[in-house]
Amino acid sequence: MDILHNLFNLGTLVAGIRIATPILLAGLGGLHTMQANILNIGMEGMMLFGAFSAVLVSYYTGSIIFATIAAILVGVLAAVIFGLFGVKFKCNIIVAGIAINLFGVAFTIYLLRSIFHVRGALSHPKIVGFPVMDFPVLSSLPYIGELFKGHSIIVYVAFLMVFLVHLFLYRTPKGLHIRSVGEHAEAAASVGISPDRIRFQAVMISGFFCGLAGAYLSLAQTRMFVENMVAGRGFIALAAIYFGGGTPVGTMLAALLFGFAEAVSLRLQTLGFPSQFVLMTPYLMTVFILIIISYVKKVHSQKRKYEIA
Amino acid sequence: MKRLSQIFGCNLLRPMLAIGIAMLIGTFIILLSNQDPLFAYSKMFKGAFGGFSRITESIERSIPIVLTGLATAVAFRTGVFNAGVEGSLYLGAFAAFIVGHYVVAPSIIHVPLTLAVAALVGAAWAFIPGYTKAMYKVDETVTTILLNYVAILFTAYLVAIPFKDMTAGSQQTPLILDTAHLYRFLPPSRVHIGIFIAIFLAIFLYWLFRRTIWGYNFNMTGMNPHYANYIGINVERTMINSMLISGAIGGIAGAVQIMGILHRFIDQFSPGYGFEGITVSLLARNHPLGILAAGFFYGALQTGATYMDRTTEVPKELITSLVAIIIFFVTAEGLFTYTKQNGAFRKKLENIPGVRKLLQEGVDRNGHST
Repeated sequence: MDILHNLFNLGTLVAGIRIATPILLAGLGGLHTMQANILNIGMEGMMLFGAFSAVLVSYYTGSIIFATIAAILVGVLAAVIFGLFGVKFKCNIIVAGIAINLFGVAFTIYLLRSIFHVRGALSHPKIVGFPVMDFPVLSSLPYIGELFKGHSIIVYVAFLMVFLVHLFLYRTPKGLHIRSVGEHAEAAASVGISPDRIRFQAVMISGFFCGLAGAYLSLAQTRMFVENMVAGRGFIALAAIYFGGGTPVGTMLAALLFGFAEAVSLRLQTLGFPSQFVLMTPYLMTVFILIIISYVKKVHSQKRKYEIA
Repeated sequence: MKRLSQIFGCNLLRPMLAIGIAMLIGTFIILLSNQDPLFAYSKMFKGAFGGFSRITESIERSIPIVLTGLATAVAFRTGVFNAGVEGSLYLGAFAAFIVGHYVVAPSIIHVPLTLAVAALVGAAWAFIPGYTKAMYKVDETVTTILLNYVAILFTAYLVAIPFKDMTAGSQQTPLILDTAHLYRFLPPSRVHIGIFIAIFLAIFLYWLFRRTIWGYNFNMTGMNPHYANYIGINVERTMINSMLISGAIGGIAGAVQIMGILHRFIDQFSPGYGFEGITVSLLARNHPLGILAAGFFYGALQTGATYMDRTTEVPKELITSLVAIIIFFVTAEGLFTYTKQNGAFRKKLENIPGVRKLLQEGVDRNGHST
């Protein structure tokens, strides 16, 4: 019982929220591309560019606002490269994603070593991080108030974004365009929507969120840049999107679940248990879900065939 | 030139152009970092090809890349985007450790047995995404990428707890037996007979694609699954078969690295051989013999980059960045049709001596595009 209490308490939940935030942010971006029927595996690279430029600008200007803007701009820039080759020049979109990831890992290390002449990691007192705050009202609630206390400001922004993205996707014309291009590109084109243009815009939106997610990693979760610091979170975000069925709220729940799983595994590690099995659960669960969804779809379509016949 | 492009079955213009563009961009980047690009590139070249020890290191580095490249190509040919060679590689490598460490047999049995078990394990792992792709249309790219992490974490657990070498500080297993080693035939270098396994598999796949019904089915399914189905090919079966072969070669790639170089399983031993395989396969347009060349090119680039890193102020990551740029330009179908429509650009290209011939060759070879 002691162990269970050690694993499942408010502290783990709070840690889970922090771990979930970058996954959520990247996931919110990636679900735009998923809704536009683009398999975006380049989020990893976009996040890395965001993380690095955030640290770079924070170091030189000391301004967290400039750093955030830079991270977002560079994230979008990386997305533009990805979109240019993946959408406009008709590279295989998966290949474009692989290339942007490769480029992100290698080029940020190159810049780290040529600009700062350090290997591995850069931490410096001149790097300014995001401010920490308590969420008004909710943080004064008894017991669960702890969940809304002492997070970096971006954490709250990320969770508010869930609702904004929901509104954008389901309540605005642009959101409808994105979804319709994903559902049936030819049909969308027949009513005057340019599919490639919409796809490109969806890719740029994903760059925006990935840049922000990168800034969170380097200026909120830590206050440094570490080589390849995204470490697969882009792919966990991808898993979260699929796990959540491509909706903003679903993605949030999936991100929280994965974040919590990782928080538990970190606890397990300190208790001397092998953490690897907990760490693999997000991946395994997502693969299972994907298989089940596709299986159900197939059974359904077969049934329909019989009914028609 | 004509013969070369015929052997490799793809036109060489685009990769060459892509490499040229990447090197140009690299030159600018190096200049911006206040370094001498010519010096850096010459050091890189020297690091890759300058002398026996450098060349053998390039070869040694390229063996696993060629194998993962071949593994990737089999699936790509069938239109299955297997990004999971890395997972097969890890599991195959671990299987190779198990057989290499616990089974006692003379070398002549031990080596093939170890390779065979690694291939089986790799194939079994690739079967999961292959089967679900073929039967239920589950996106194989997503499942293979996610399952990679499962495989890597699983071996990380095995090497951290049940099979850890207690005398070592880092996460690694004990050594495999001498009888399971792949013979190093060019001492003092570590080049081992795994290279012949790679060459043999490349030729085997070339033969398979060209001369067998299996290969025909692979190609047809890859080009147009509906048409393949229409002419009576069992598309599902073909996809699963290609994933099995892909996974098996991936497993062998891992085993070869353990048996030839490391002689034990080390946690996180792969610097991303699986993904390097994807790159190489793309560069060679999934052509087995092209992959031999592209794999060696990639291995040489990496050893050259490491040498450049040691001897100049230019970090080796520059080269990996350039590889990403090369991938972009090699695979950008739309970019080159765009420039082809743009007659002025094509005329300019044709005015460069030698390029005209390559352009024409590309048209001849593919019938329609350059």
